[in-house]
Amino acid sequence: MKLDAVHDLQKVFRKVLAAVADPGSIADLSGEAELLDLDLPLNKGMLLVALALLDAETTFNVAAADSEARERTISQMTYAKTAGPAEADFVFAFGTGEATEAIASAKAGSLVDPHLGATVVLEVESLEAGGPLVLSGPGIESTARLRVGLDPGWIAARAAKNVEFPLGVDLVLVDRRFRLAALPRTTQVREDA
Amino acid sequence: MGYVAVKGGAEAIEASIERLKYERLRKGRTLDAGAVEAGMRALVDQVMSEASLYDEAMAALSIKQAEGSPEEAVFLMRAFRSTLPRSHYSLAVDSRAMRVERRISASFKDIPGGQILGASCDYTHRLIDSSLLEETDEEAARWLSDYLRRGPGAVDQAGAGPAPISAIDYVRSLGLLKARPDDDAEPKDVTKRAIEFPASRSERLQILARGQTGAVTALGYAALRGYGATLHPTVGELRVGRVAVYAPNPFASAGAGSDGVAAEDSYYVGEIRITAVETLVPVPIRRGLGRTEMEFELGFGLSFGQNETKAIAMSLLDQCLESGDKRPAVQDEEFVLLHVDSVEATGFISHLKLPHYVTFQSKLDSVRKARGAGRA
Repeated sequence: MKLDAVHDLQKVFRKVLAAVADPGSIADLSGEAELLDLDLPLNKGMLLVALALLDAETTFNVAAADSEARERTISQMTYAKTAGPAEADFVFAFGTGEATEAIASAKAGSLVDPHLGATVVLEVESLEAGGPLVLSGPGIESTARLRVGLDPGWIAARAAKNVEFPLGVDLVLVDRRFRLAALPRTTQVREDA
Repeated sequence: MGYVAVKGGAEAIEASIERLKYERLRKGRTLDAGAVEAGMRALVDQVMSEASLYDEAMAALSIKQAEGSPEEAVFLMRAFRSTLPRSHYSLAVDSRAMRVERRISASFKDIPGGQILGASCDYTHRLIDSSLLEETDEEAARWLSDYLRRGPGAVDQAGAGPAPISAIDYVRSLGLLKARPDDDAEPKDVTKRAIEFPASRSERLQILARGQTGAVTALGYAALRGYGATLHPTVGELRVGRVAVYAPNPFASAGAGSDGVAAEDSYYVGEIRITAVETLVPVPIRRGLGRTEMEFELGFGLSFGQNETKAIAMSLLDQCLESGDKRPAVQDEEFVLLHVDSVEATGFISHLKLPHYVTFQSKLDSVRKARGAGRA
């Protein structure tokens, strides 16, 4: 594997961090994905996020029609343990139905420990700047626009999950070309009619 | 206006950092981190112990960068530690299963296996040795090869396995040591979840083991001098040596059974040098009708590297905190545990240097107003 487990993953971490700080901006993980030259049963962008964020202290859940191979890969490469969809610190969802379900069942933290709300990483078809989703909130000067290649059920599920701030879940979106965007729980998402 | 002030500050800070580098290099000589690791064993051990990170090379580098300041080196090491992924937990290490390098008892002259003095400053005259000014690498190499030719027996003997019975077992066999059930509860980690009181013993031992050497020593000394209920304690056994660390197979099926199975299916990670101390503390037990009997309690101290004073002080504080009577300060866990950490103590004191312009101005205003009102 050409991927450097420290320096390349730090770059991935910085990109995720920048995406969370600047919701609607799109980061490109294709360079790092290219270095991950293994035959893998899951989207390399999704795996890079897992490699950068997970260790044995964290738990994760894979929401997918066929989750076993993906679970095993993430677990063996990060030493993180699997947990149920409502207990996992990180949820990796592959597919439209899974995304909505994963957001709805993920843990939202408690009022004492809102930071324990899950991070939900969604695999989407595509991500593009400019588009029908209007984003506003901390980190966005006025509004930002995003197009997400995923059936829109997830938007309502996310809004319902994040209704009681500071409780909620933070979303990371990764598309098939290893582009990444983030929607922290503080971001308001509106669909432009 | 605020923006201008911030820019000015940024430039001044850059200049200050550059000046710090100048101070480190101004005598025209650089310090080799490898030389720090080789020749400053005590400081390396102290920094690893207070940082709770066992890495001699990183500790030496931190010491070089910090120009020898332990608090700054510990801060650097703690910051580095916080960036590391936590991939594995080792199996519990039995500090008695140690390759002993030094093992002494102040309680019994004839401990099983004998007293092994090992390397210690305890038996030196504390006279500054001016010949060290002229010491050269060649001389050192010659002495070293001569020593190893002369004394391999001694080196081997120090590396011998643990004695079958420790001094503590003997006191226990006499029925004089308060019996305690084994506690195999999963230890809590204060670096993962902030401590809440009352603390568990694992949290206490963790905080003391990573405590600032001077602070732990000072509080242990206070306990010894009578600011606790401690009667004169005796070191039952102090041992310095190397213990092996094993990590269990991370992919073993969950709940694969007892520790025995886990130990077989585990990986050798390496060995670390530790100091472990068991102290015997006499405590009076009231038996009624004015009759008092003496019994012993055990205090335990453990530290990365060879840090004997700290480990002994830790064992005294461990026993103090177990006593349950919070009236003496050194037996009050909130007092002891919240004040012995190097980064927390130096950090909070250092924060007094940060700008408090607004809070101080408002304090000044209220003082002036109060005085003005008094005169009126």
